Amino acid sequence: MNNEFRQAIDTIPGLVWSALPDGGVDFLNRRWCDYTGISLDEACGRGWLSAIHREDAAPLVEYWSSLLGGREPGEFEARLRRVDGTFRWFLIRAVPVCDESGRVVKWWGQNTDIEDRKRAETLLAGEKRLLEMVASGCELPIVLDALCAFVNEASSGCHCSILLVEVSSGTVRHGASPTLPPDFTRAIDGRPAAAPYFGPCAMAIDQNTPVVVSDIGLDTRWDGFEWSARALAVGLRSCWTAPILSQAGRPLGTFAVYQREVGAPTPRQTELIGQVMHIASIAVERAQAEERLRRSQAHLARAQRVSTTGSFSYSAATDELTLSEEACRICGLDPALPVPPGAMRDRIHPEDLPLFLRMLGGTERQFDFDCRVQLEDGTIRYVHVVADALRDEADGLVEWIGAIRDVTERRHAEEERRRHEAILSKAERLSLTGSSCWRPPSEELIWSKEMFRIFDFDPDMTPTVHMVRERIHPEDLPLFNHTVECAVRDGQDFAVEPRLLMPDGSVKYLQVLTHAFRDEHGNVVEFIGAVKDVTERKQSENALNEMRNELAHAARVATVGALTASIAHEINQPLSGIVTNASTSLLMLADDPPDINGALESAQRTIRDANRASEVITRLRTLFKKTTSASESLDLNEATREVLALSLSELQKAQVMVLTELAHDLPPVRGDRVQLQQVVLNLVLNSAEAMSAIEDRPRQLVVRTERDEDDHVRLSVRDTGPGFDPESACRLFDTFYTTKREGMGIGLSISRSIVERHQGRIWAACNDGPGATFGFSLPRLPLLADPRHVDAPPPPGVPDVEGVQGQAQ
Amino acid sequence: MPLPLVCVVDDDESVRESLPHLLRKFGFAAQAFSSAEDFLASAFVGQTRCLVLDIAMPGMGGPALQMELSRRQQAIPIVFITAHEDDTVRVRLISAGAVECLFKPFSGAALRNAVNAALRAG
Repeated sequence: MNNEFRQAIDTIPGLVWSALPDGGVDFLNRRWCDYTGISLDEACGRGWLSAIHREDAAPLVEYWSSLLGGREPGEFEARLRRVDGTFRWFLIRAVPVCDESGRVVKWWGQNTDIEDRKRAETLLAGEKRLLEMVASGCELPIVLDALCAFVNEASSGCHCSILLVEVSSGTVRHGASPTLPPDFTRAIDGRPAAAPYFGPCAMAIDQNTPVVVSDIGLDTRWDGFEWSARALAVGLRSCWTAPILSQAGRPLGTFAVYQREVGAPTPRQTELIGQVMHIASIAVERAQAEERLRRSQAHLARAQRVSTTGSFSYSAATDELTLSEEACRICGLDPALPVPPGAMRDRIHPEDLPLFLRMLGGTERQFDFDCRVQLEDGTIRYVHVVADALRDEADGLVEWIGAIRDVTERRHAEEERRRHEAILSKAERLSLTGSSCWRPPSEELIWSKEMFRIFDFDPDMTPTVHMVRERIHPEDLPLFNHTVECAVRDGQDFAVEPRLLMPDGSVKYLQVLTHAFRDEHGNVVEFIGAVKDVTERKQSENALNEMRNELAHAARVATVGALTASIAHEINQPLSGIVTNASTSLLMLADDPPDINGALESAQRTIRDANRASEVITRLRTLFKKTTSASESLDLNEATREVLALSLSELQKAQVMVLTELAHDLPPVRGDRVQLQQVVLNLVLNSAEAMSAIEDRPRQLVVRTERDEDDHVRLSVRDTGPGFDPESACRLFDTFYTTKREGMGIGLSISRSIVERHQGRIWAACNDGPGATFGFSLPRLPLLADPRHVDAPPPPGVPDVEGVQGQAQ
Repeated sequence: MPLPLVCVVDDDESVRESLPHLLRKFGFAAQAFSSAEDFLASAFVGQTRCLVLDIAMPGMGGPALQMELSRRQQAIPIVFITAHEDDTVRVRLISAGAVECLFKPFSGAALRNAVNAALRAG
């Protein structure tokens, strides 16, 4: 090879070499020697192999040997070591030179630097692999790990980490960092995302911009959180980080590269990171989308389960039915198994099947109906089906898409409700009670059927408050309006008993009871009430009252008989005095001389005795007077004393010892004096009579008054008679129930009706010892209601029998 | 000779006040007691020539006093008086030794006759 030619080749910027037919290199140009740092002498023969990457040397030698056996040119890609020790990819091309006979006499070769292309290819392959991972639904942590590994590999000396923003919690989460110490990378896990002071990655997210820390040792931005110290502690000297952005530009996380040397990223590294970040963005967004999809599917399944609504599709062409999980459940199919053909048809109740089939095959665009589904165990489910037809251009049926809903419970509830309504309606009819709901804010009024009947309005009318007022008796309307107004104002329950004046002039008596429902501010939202037609009861009550008065009078008259002797005794006493005094007076006047003074005294005693007789008559008259109920405030002690005074001689005759224990501080009660005295008299006479056969013990009667609980006043009459059979206790007060041969059995029943009309209670009890106690209690008059009666003295002429005992022999 | 003593035992005030006056007008000495016990406790029992005695009284009644006197062997003639007009009682009392049984109100003459009969019996 002449020098001139050699010099020419040496000046070529490419790497050029030549080899002998046996493969031994006999020439390398200067450029080659300069590039590899190997001298020509060293490189000749097989010395050049020392510049080839160890991994590539053997394959290259093998390929070179194979090439030498033929006359074809060849090429091989291998890494060549530069003088600075870095390897770059070269395409090594060899072309044979043949003589006329076609024998190879020389090989010429050229090495072309393909590092950039090779790198791009590697990157592309890497990206392709990563994208394949993403596309094939590989789990995100694995993809992110692969991303980091890819960069670590492509750019030696780099350690990558990926952080992800968790939107729901607003924190950052560790994504991947295969080659960094876990303690270091996990320190930020769970920290707030928008907290730039935690470190460069947090700052990159917060500011949505790349952050470069070329010398961690000199950067003071994160001293507060000691990020720099912790990075240095694990040997990291520089860090470059950038936000991974969504398509919408929102930071999804960060991609960070750490190095154990100080420095900023090279353009190549920047480019590499940029590409990887793009993939990371796709991977993260896709994972998030999948998560959203998965969750929305889970929500849908749950919503279907909760709403007992399933979805289905039916393909007309394939006669194929697809059911959602809930739809399977509704139809009693196992969601895990494929729906057997005809499953739906087999389950639909035979009576509903024709309709179902007509719908499926028909020309409708939509259908909406209820059908029954029969499960394998025989249970019937009511299912509501709605579906929409999907049709092709020729209007042929392609698919039904629809929803089925389990309405069994609703159906049962409806049936139950209908049944209840029927019962309620019947009950209202029977009890003559209507129900009504009134909403004062809107004046809306809702009535049950019975209400219309009570008010005699057409059930098709919409009831109004005006209509109600029109029917109410004019005399009762002011009170009714006032009561309702107060109830609305105060948000209180109310009860009124108005009369209705019907169009035919008849009067109805109503009993209205309402309950107020209030909102959280205490304002009335609605009144729900019961309206009872009590006309018949009122009428019979009035009749009963009249009858009761008659009966009470009859009973009183009947007691007159029993008391005749008593009355005679009471009157005969003063009469006796009158006769005696008159006789005395006459004798004194007949004397000679007449004893005028003595006669006058006697005449005065006569007058006094006559007055006594008159008082007795007055007492009797009040007791036996036929009277209607008259309510007054009265002192029960006083009334009791009067009764005892009248019956004392009767009791003495019956050899009954009367003890009175009348409370001194007894509050007054309100009632009909005559009626209540009748009760006391009945109880006293009953007890006395009960003891008539008692011979072996004192016939003792204790009449006691006292305060009772709940602001009541009670009176009891305790005897030492034979008592009564406890089993008959509840019947004692029944009309015509009697244990006495002569008794009419009306005394106690009248007593009970009197006491109950006074809002009181009458009772009978067996004593611990011999005998029984009968008593009643009445509500006391409110304090200060009528102070005149609190300490009223006994009326004149009534002997005070308190503490006195009477006994006859 | 002292006037014969007639004692009245009655719980009724009218009788106690009126009867002694009338008896005195008839020429008897008279004392009134409101109960049998008071009479028994008094110093007059031994001097009493006639007892005008109410039947029904609180505590010891008329018939009981009669029995008590007979137990004490105090044979005092008794005229019973009562506001209860009951002939069976009257018959029973008279057959048990009473001189008379008067139903209130009785006339002055009836009383005088009865007391005189008692005094004669005594």
